[in-house]
Amino acid sequence: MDKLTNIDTSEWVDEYADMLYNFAAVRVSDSDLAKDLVQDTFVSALKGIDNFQGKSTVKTWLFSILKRKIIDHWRKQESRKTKPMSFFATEGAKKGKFLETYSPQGRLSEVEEQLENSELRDAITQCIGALPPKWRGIVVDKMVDEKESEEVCNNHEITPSNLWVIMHRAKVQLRDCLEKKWFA
Amino acid sequence: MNCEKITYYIEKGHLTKLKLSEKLQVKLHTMICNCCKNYTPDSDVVNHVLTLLKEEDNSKTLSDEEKQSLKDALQKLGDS
Repeated sequence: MDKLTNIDTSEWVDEYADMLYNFAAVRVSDSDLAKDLVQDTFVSALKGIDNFQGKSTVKTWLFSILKRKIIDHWRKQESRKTKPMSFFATEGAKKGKFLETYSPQGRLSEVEEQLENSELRDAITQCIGALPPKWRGIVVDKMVDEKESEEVCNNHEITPSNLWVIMHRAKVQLRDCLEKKWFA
Repeated sequence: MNCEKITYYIEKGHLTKLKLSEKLQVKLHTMICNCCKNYTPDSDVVNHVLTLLKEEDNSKTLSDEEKQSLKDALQKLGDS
């Protein structure tokens, strides 16, 4: 049994490490942390190998462990804030000057049509990286993984109105970021 | 007029059902405000570009050394 396990784990790394790493990198926006999460995933998988009964594929199983770890990370990160909404006063779109310093031109779609998907992905990845860390996971959870709001609130331990406010702030900032990138 | 509030309603409308009064405020305000009128199609573009991140993308790779150290660590764990 030991021998079998050893062979399997090397194959896991060859076959799934990059996949898991890319998935994690999008969701935590920090490549070192993403690497740690991948390692933790493999370790947990190996420790829990007895629970894996082949009901799903190895890939699905590993991804489900990784997703759990990402949510745990979000919660740990987000529970550190003492006053849940205090960051709105200091971060994100500036109060008072709203939409005045950069007024939407409604022209993002012109550029979007011209760019390759990989270029669009690079641009939005950079813009997400510029968001306050607490918002990144929330935006990705809701907009990339397209989860129900209730599940997102639960994953990040926020209320629905927290979610609306954060999504608004984040979207305004992402829109500004893309416009500056493409029309500056 | 408060563009911050209006764009908040626009985004909130993507997440939940707006009250009638909120809907009306958005309608009226976007009739007279170009910024907020332009905000809506831009917001849709941002949404669409975000969904592109969902596609499986394996452009980043771990280095061979990183993979090897992962394998070694797992092997050790498996042996113990």
